[in-house]
Amino acid sequence: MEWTFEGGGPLYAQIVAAVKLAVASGELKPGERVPGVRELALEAGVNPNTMQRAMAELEREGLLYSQRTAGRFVTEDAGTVAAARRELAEGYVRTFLDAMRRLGLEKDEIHKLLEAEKEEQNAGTGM
Amino acid sequence: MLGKLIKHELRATAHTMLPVLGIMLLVSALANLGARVLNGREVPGVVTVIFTLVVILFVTGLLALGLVTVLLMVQRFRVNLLRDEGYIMHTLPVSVHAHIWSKVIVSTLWYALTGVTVVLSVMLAAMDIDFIRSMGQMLGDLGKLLFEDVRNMELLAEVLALLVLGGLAASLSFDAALSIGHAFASRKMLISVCVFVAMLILGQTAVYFVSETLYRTGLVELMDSHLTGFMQAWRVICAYAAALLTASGAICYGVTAWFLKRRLNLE
Amino acid sequence: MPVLECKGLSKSYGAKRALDGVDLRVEAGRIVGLLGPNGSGKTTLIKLANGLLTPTQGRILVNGLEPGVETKRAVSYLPERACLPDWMSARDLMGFYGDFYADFDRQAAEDMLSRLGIDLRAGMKSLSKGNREKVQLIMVMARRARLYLLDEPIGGVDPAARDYILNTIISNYNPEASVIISTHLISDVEKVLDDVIFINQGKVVLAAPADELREQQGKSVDQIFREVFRC
Repeated sequence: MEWTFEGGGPLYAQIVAAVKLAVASGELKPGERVPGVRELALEAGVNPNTMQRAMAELEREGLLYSQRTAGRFVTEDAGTVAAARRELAEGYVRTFLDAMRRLGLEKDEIHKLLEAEKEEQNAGTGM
Repeated sequence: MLGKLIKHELRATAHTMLPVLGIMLLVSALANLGARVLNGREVPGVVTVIFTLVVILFVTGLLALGLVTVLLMVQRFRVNLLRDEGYIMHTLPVSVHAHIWSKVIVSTLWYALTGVTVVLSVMLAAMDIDFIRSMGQMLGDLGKLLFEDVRNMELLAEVLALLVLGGLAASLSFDAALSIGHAFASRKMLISVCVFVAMLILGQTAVYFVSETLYRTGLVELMDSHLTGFMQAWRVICAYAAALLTASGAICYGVTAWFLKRRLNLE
Repeated sequence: MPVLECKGLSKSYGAKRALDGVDLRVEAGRIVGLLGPNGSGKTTLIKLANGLLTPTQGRILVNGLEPGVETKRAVSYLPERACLPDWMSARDLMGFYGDFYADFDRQAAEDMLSRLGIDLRAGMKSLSKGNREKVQLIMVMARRARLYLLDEPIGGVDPAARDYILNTIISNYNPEASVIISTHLISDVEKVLDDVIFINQGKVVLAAPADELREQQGKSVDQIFREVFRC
């Protein structure tokens, strides 16, 4: 996994978000084993305590589960993955709409723009 | 822990001292060879020049060797405990006392080995068949003299003990001066030297007063009178010298320990 | 019991106050950033914890004890400047550290050295400045100490060396031990810190968990530092 961090916001929350995205996008497959905390901490260049806290949070949210001896795994529950995907998608949409509103665009203008962009992309890939 | 410190101290100092002493012995052997070659034989000029240089090197080396050892020991104390390496040394789980003892014991050992090297160098330079023969005889006589009378044995032991005490006291005086000088923020070495000179003057004054007192007690007459009188006087002088050395050593030890513990000023 | 505790700790050099009434607690298992501009008192605090200096006022306790032979057994210290004797080889150094520190893990040291490709028999003199600094860090991190005091470990090193140093600190992490990293290069270390202590002109300005600060202020520790220490 690629780890990039932004300035503000707690690191553990940024890790939670990054793993959630990886699960939702399928980069981490259901049932896949997740490396140990120390290894992940090294990979991300963060403190093991921070990584531990993020993993605990992900377990609490049900995206990961741990088996005492075998380690930690990605959830196999399709519902949880779908919920995570939906949650992320909603987040992106909200960010997008916020930005549009700040630009002063109305609802139907946004719709038009979206349609236009979709056609352009279709034209691009249709060739 | 003192044992481990001494072990590492020996390794670190042997690094510089063994080559120094080894070169001195080598030069002595060459000087011996030079003396033979030059002695009344017709040799090319180059050889004469080379061996003359070797002989000069031998003489200056012999005169300078003691000073070189002292300077190397002073430098060792300074670099190891009062400069960058001090960050490692003073954070070892070892007391200040162990540090001082390890330095002082190992320095004294090198002073002794320097003395032995000087004697060996002279012997090596003068060595030939006659010399070995007379040397053997001398050693035999000396041995006989020592075993003849237990008092002679004692005398030798006393002289050796006094020399060791002198080595320890000298090391401690260098260490004390360095520890004081390096507690200052700048001009550390200059202050160390000044402190050492001041200590020398103090020491000389003490020696002066003690010998004055001894003179007044009529020690000199006792010395002149006869052999037993001489021996008695000698004993008294030895005792006073030992007391002076012990006192100065103890003071320097206390000063060094206090400054290393309380006034350490690494850059 | 905290690994490091300061109570009203002050240190003066002549008339100059280097530390002024510092109160601090560092608990086990934390990686702590001691952050402040040059000359703020970071090195003085670390030297006091090491027993290289004695307090003018107040107390400093390591594992509940005043600095001395006993605490030095448990403290592993990386000084600000490289100070390994240049005639010693890596093998000599391992012998030295192994002799004096019961907690020195020789195998760990050898592994780290071989990963760097350092010739164990080569004297420090023959190594590059960067490698000499890494060897010293390895000697310090190969101990299983209770408290690691790292004084400016990333000052003046290139980004690759900085990553190496931070990775070495993370991979030797031990929940029983605390690590204190003093630095003025905040953005480089902030990801590895549990807690931050801001120190300025001998006083503690702020001490808090790093993530808590980021959450409350919505800024990186680096940004917060710049605001606190704005000139």
